[in-house]
Formats: sequence, structure tokens, C-alpha cells
Amino acid sequence: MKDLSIPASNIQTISRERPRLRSRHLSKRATDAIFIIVMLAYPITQFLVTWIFVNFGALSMAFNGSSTYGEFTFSFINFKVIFEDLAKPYPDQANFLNLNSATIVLLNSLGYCFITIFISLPLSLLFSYFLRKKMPIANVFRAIFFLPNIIPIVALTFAFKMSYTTPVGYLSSFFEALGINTAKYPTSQLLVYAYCIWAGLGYNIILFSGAIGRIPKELFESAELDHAGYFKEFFHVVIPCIWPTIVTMVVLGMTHVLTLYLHPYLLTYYDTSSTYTIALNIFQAAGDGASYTQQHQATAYGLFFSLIWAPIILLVRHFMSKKYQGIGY
Amino acid sequence: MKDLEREINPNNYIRKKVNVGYHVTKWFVFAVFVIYAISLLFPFLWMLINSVKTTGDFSSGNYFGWPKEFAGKNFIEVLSVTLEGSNETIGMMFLMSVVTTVLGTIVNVGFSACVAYVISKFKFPGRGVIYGVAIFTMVVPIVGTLPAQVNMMQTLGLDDTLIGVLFLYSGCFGFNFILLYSSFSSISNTYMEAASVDGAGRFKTFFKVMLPMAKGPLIACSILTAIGYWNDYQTPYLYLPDDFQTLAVGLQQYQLENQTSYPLVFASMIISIIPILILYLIFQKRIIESTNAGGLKG
Repeated sequence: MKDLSIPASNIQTISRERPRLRSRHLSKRATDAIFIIVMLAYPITQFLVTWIFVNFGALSMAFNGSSTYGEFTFSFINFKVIFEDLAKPYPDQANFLNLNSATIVLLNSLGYCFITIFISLPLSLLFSYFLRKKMPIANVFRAIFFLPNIIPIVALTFAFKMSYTTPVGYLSSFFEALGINTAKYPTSQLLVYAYCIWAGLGYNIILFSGAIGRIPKELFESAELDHAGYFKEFFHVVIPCIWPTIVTMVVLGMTHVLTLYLHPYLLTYYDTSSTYTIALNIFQAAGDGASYTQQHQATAYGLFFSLIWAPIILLVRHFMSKKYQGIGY
Repeated sequence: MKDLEREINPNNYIRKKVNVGYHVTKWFVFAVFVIYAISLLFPFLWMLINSVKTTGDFSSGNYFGWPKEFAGKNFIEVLSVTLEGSNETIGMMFLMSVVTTVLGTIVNVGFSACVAYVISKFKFPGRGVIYGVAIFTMVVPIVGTLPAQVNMMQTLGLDDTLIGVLFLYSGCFGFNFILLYSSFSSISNTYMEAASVDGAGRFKTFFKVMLPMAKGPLIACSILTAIGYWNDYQTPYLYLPDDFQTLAVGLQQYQLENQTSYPLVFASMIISIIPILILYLIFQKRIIESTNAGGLKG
């Protein structure tokens, strides 16, 4: 039988080694902790300062009835103003629907959701689908379509605006011949929508193309074997397969209602009264010259519409996600 | 004849019919693509041609013809133009845009890389919370906070300063964080361990081993961030002093002020596009791939 006892010299070695190992382990943990703290110190501080300051600040501003800087009086007056503005019986400006400004702002903002879901996204989907169908010079098209996403928005809106600026624009005579005043509501707003579709397709096309590119080729091949035409392939293969991407794009499109302001601001700088949106209202209140009351009202305005619109977005997402569950590329 | 063909080989007949439909649709869509592509390119080509006309030539009604006299000097002249109520020239705005874009990209991508690396490679209490909060704040935007942000910047003394703009740009829990987090996660931990065995400390491992390994995603993030900051209007407009504005903000004011010498305005717009266009031409594939990174899923 073998002697299994451990020689005394070895025991000593082990017992000497143990504390050394533990101290090395501890120091490794300590260095890791120092490393983590140093790496995260600024990012977390920056995040906490901006997030807490901004969000709590926004809440206090929305419920602040005082118009003096540094003074706080709890009040719902800023929210009351929203309803009063919406209920105004008279139009603030001449427009064909005889609507007041607050209603126009709402309609303009909701319009972005409508054009995204019913015009931009379907068009982008179709474009992406055909770009994947061995279209000649597809990569050139893709590169050109993406251009609006990299060109400064000031230059892009200027280029668009110049097309119908009298007398230099190449479309100005066309609008004049039809007797359309591009500065007047609703044409002014329709032109902003047209800009959004024109400039926004590229980004959607890239995302949809990526999603369509991830669909297994076998699915397209089997559709071809079944003699499925473009129509059938598009509705029975492509749409179900990229449904999660479509849902996300719809959700993003719906958030435009609350966030879009630069396009109308830059396109109709001198007369934004007819192209105002919820976000533009807030942006204007953040600029120089706005009173504290205006700032408080704009904050309440943003919070109020976020509270109404956010659950609608979540509901839409919930119901849309139920269709074609378990598929997604 | 058609009837005979249908009788002999009905499948082939249907296929041919489908093919004709296929081709007609395909070429119709191709024509639509060409028209849309022209609609995107034409305004800029029109601006480019008109930017080298003299003001007199353009004002005389030559909106669509070739320049009677080549005025390339417009591009030099416009750089020394100052805006109303400001001492800053468009050339200075260009430099300010370069400075803001470069520094903004460095702080944003740099800090995003730090956070992404730590969260993806180290286990510590609160790691999940940080990741969750980053995703939550990215997905759920709270609207109406802009006046509060202006107040915060004024309170912190960061309003009307470049540092203030960089402070906001250094917020790193966004798209770059997500992209870099997945990049660092996909790099095997054995590289870290090997560096540790070789005696490299945590910082050395991060800077000398991990960052070079994530070079591709880092470049992609930097390009997209740089484009975003070059084009940014809101942050410089709200938080930079009037005499140190970027090109994006200055050009909006310039085109509103200058309704007479359009060729100069066109030249200024072309100047603002050129750096971005060069970046796009060099990194076009990477830009599109990164935009599409991982796709978007609900």
C-alpha cells in the first residue's frame, strides 16, 4: 500500500503559499475596483448630473406657477393653459379650416406620424425590396439615397427650399402657374411633409435593406419555385420575416410627433406659425428671449403630450408585436 | 400559336408570362429610382454650378445656364464674410466646426469605449443596472426637458462655452455604447488574461490590447459621431457664444441675411458639405454598415 501522507516539508510550503495567494487575490480585486471606478467615474457623474438635473428640473418647471426666477409656487396653471389654448373659439390666423393655433400644432405634429407610417415606411420598404432584386447599379442607388443623412440639415433644407423660392427656384414657376402660395397654410406644412419624405427615405431604406438581407436565401428560392410573383413574395415572405424591424420603425415614426422640430424651423424660419409642432414650441421656449412663464408652459406642454402619446406608442407596439410572433431577421 | 404553346407546356407559358411582368415591374421601379436619385443630386449640382457664377450673372436671371464667367473666387470670398452682430467670419465658423467635431467625437467615443469595456468585461454590483438604465434612457425620450437643460447649463456656468457643448457631447450611454458593448463582448477574455500573465495592468490591457482589437467598430462610431456633430444645429445654437458659432448655425443665419448674392450663399453651403462628402466617399461602406449595425428589432 502506498504511503498517502503528505511530507511535512510540503505542508509547510502549502501553508506558506496560502496567505500569499489570498493577498494577491485581494490586490487583484482592489486593482479591478480602482480600474472600474476610474473608468466609470466621469460617465456616471455626467449622466446623473444631466439626467437628474434635467428631468427633476423639468418636473419642477412644469408645476411652477411663478414667473420669477428662483421662485417656486406649486400650480397646475401651465397645464390649464394647454386646454385653454385648445378650446379657443377663434382662429389666430386665416387658414382654410378655420382652426386655432393650438389645434394646428397638434394636427401638424400628428401628421408626421401619418406620413411616416402610411407614406415613408411603405415606400422605403418597396424601395429596399427592389434594391435586393438584382437591380442594376443597386449600390450606387443605395449610396445616393443615403446622402440626405450625412449632408448638414441646414444645407439640405436650403437646397429643398430653393427649389420653390421665387423667382430662382426651378419649381417656383410650376407653383405659380397652379396659383399655389407656398408660404401659406396648408401648402407650407405640406411642403415640410414632402421634405420629410424626400430626405427621410434613405435612412429607412438602409435599415430595411439590412433586415431583408438577413432573410435566408432559401425562402426566396422556395417562393420562386412556387412561382410567387413580386406581390406574393413581398407580402408573404418579406413582410413577415422583417416584421420586428417594421414594428420598431413604426414606433420611431410615432415618436416624431413629439420630437420633430428642426425641419419646420429651418424650412419656414420667417413664418413658423403655421408649421409649428409640439417640439418646435419647446425649442423656441428654450432659446434666448423666452420668459420663465413661456419656459414653464413649454415644459408642461411636452410632459402632457408625452403622457398621452407614450402609452399609445406602447399599445401600438404591443399589438403589432403579436402578429408574426417568433419570426424576425 | 400561343394556344398551342399553352397546350404543349402550360408551366413554361405561365413562367414566361410571369417573367414579362417581372421585367416590366423591375424596369418601372428602376425608372422611379433614377428619378428619385436625380431629385436628390440635382439641387446640389444646381447649387454647385450657381456657386461659381458672379452675383450679377445670377441676378440677371441666369438661374439654369452655365456661368458666363467662372467665379471660383466666391469660395475664397465667402470665407471672410461676417454675419450681422458677430465678428466671426465663415472661415472661423468652419474652424470652430472642425474643433467642436473633433473634440466632441473624442470625448463621446472615448467615454463610450470606457463604459462599454468595463460593463462588458467586468462583473461588479450595479453592472446590470447601468446597462438597463442606458437602454431605458436611449429608448424612452422624455420630451419637454430642453428648457430645463438650458437652466442646468446656466446654473453650472457651462452656457455659452465650448466646454459646455463638450460636456453634453460626452454623454456616453447611447448608440455608441451599445455598438461598442457588443464589440467588446465578442472579444474573447483570453486576450485580457494573456496580457495579465505578461504583466500588463488593467489600463495597459485596455489601451494597448483591447482598444486596438476594437479598432473597426471604434472607427465606425467615430465617423458616425463626427458626421452627427458636424451637422448638429441645436447644441451649438443653444450653448455656444454668438462669436464662436459653428458652420451649421452660421449658415442658417447667413442664408437668411443674404437674399441678394445667392452665389456666395451657395458657395458657403458647398463648403459645409465637402468635408462630410469626403468622409462619406472614403468610408461609405462602413457608414452604411454601421447605421445598419445589428438591425433594429422591436
